Amino acid sequence: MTDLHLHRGASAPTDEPRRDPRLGGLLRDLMGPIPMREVNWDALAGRVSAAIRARQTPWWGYVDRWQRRAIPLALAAGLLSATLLVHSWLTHPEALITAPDMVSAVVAGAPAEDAATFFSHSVTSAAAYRVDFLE
Amino acid sequence: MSPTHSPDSFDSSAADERRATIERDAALVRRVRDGDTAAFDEIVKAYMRPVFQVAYRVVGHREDAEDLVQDCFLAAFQYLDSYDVDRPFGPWITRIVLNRGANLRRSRARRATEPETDAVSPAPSALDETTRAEARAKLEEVMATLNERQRMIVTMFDVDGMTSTEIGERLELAPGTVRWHLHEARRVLRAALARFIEDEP
Repeated sequence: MTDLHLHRGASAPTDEPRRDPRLGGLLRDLMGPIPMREVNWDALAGRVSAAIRARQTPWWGYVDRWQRRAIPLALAAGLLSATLLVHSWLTHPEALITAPDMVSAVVAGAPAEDAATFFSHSVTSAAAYRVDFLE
Repeated sequence: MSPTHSPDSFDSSAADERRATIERDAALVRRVRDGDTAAFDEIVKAYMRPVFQVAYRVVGHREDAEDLVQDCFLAAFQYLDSYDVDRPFGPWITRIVLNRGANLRRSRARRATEPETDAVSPAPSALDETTRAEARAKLEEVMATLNERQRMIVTMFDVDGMTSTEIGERLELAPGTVRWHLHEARRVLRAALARFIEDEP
């Protein structure tokens, strides 16, 4: 830095507006100071941080959000399924024995032809039963 | 004269400080964008006080100002992708405060005009209570006619004692622009509050 720079810096007229003590005094009086000491800064930072974390939604957040609706829906679906199943058993009782009997025949070592015959017989009987029922 | 005390070195030192702040903030913002939410806590801690100062001047009530601070940091977090990391973070969040604060102040206008009961006591007033209430009502009325930028500039300059350069840095405005807004705001305020200013001893 040269003396010229220093001289210019020292003597240049400042553009900074003058303070107006009367207007400034009135405004300060009416507005008051900023209550910086009244603020609990740690608590405020904690609030902001918690709010930001709450805004982010992890995968379990969606589960949490939907569980109130999902649980009653699942219960209703389960109840409906059970009702349909019972109704199905009551209207087609032969269906209950078809599959287990065929499986037990195969497991017991019955020839494949016998198992097939048994299966077709079961199906035919169920169909016949159904026709009878409808008639 | 020591070289460290010359005006040029002050300017240089301030510029270095600004650059370092921008770099620090940019690094923090990048970390947040990469999923490190804890980095945003550091941003909050760094800017909480200046943001509160502006928020308080906008809404005029401590609790509202705290709510506004929280709201603005949340908005900043949400829209962080739109923040240009090559620019200072302070003016960006200050703009958020001014925009959101204006909405909040309008919605809570009545409460904002009430005197702050838990604030630091102001200096003893030269005005009696009735005149003071009148002056406050008039101030509120005339402040509402100023735009948000002028209101903030005149408050920062005449109430908080900041310089036009400091205000310019805070609001990312050229000092000349700050001075022009200050001039306009003072002209309106002086005309509206002349009676109260003249009444003062």
